[in-house]
Amino acid sequence: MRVAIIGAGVIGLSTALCIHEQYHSLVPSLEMEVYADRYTPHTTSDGAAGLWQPYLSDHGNLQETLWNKETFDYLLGHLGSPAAKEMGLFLISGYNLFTQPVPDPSWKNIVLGFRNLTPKELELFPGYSYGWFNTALMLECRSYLPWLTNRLTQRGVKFFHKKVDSFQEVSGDMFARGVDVVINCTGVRAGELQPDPELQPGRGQVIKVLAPWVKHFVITHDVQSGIYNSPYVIPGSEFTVLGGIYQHGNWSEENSARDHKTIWDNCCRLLPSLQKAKIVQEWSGLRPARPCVRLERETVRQGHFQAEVIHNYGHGGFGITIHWGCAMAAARLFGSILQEKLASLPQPRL
Amino acid sequence: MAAPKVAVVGAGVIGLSTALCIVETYPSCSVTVLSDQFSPNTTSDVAAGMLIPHTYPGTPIHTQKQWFKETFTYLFAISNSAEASEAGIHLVSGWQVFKNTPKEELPFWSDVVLGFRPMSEAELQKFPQHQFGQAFTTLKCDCPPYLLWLEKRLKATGVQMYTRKVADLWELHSEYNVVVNCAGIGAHQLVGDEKLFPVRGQVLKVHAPWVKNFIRVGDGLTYIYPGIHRVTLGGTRERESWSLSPDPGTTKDIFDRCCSLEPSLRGAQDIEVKVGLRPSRQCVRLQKEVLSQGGVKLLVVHNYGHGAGGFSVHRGTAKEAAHLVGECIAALQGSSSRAKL
Repeated sequence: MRVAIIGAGVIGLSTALCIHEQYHSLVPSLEMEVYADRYTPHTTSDGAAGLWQPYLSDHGNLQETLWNKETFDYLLGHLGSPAAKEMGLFLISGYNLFTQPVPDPSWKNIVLGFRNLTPKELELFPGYSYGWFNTALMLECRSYLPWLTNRLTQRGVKFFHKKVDSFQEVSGDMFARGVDVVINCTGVRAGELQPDPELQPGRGQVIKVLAPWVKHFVITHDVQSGIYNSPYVIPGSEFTVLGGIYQHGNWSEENSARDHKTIWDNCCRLLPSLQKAKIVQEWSGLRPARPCVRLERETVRQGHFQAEVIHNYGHGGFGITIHWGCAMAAARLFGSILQEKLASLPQPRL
Repeated sequence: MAAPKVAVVGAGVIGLSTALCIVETYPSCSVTVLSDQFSPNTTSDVAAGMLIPHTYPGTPIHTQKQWFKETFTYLFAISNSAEASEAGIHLVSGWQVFKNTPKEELPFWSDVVLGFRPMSEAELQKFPQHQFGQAFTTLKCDCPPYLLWLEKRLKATGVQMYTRKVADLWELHSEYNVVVNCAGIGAHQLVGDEKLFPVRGQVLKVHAPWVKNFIRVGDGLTYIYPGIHRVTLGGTRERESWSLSPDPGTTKDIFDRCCSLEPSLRGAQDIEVKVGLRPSRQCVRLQKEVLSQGGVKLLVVHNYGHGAGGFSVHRGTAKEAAHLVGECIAALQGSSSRAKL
């Protein structure tokens, strides 16, 4: 049985691993291939700081909240393991800041030690009158994606550097034997495979600096400007990421001088010690924004070709936060495809 | 009287911060720092510099709290300024865990640090052998940066600093009007203080930049303190040990204890071992003394014996010492009206 995963960001690679871990022993003939035109360190995931934190409100989308929790618990369980360092996984504490009181977030009981900020803590952040403190996780993709790649390679999964232009391309007659299941983890460019007007780029820009004295994440929120359009500072294991840009509908992956100034000025005002930070890199990327994650099956037909497609894209700015819950859900969909295939054949040849 | 001449003996965190306070409060004084060691070779350089107070049995709690509060407030302002990285001052959050619930659940300093609260059940799950814990945010003074920053500020105000081993305070009486004794463990020999004793501490300084939170076991023996570039792993408390040589068995023991608290430390690199002798005493000796010899007087202000808590109270004791220096100078100037300094 041949399975093709399109996309090698955090979603593609984790979904591949999740499915392979769960079904390889059930399907000895399972052949898995990853197709992508971009691999780490050039994926959207690589640009993210890697902080586990969902948006402030799940807009009643309990499914996504559950997937977020599943991811957090899964990662927390790996914290004490020897793999943690190689995965780029570690605990981090920090601040969320607001200019007015806000309701507690859906994830308050998922993270550790969630509480409101005290007046003395708020003195650190003039202009902000309310906030939260909690301990969460960092999962740095510059380590996590190579770690996933190694696990997959060990399992015999093959990687191809190729831009896939259509589902037919992997499933159709151009291959000796077609692929049975396609997992669509193409992120922001999923619309090129199949039009999806709900999927839009949420352009972000970040400045990576050396500021190893910063030990906390600091994320500000401006209800007017919307998510990620207010400065944030997220310290990683080597670099600290400064950000605060979210431009809906902007496809440009070029760094903007104006955005640089916005980020730099705002972050230095937020944390004056950053004035002495050394700038190392600038990066722009496109969050695959969608009103909700597209995680569903679809049978794609054209002419005499047919393939089962599992869509898993549209994770916006919370891909790392939700990835494992989605990978598990995709694996369940794969399981049901498998069951149908077994049921439909008198002598299953898998 | 010409500009009063003050000698500060000792260039650790106590000596340098005291010199700075004197110069800030009495700008007309001429202050000189004399020490046989400067950063990076002082006791302070070995310490992690965490602002978590040590309790001195012989000092009133309200005094210790005042010293801590003053120090915390001073460093808090620096941490939130453009000078923070040069001064080596930064905020750090973490946990203090106990195998058994301590008698005193609220230490005297709990309302000085930020966000102090008991740990939640979920947080305690990360520390299986521990039943109780406290979470809070405090400050850390990284050395050498902090000492070098103090030295820079002192030089900017014209303070001279000399490497010189002072064997006896009387050596200084002809050159200086007031001597401030910040000799730390050196005071044992310098002024023959039998109440001062070393508590040997061995630490490891490692490269583990993914460790962002501190972890401290309530008994103070095991701790993980992330600094700007290195994480300090500790430690030991060996009373009356004067040995400055690292012990390899102790190194392994410290590393194992810290790894059982934070398993990811197994991946730590570049392990450096250091030893310091905490200048320990029932209470900090912070007082004036008038020494007499053959009709000659020498005015001394003592500021030593901070043991395990030097960083936590340094600014508070420095200010008090500076105040005592002011009193000495006023006495020297011998006027009944207020001394104009």
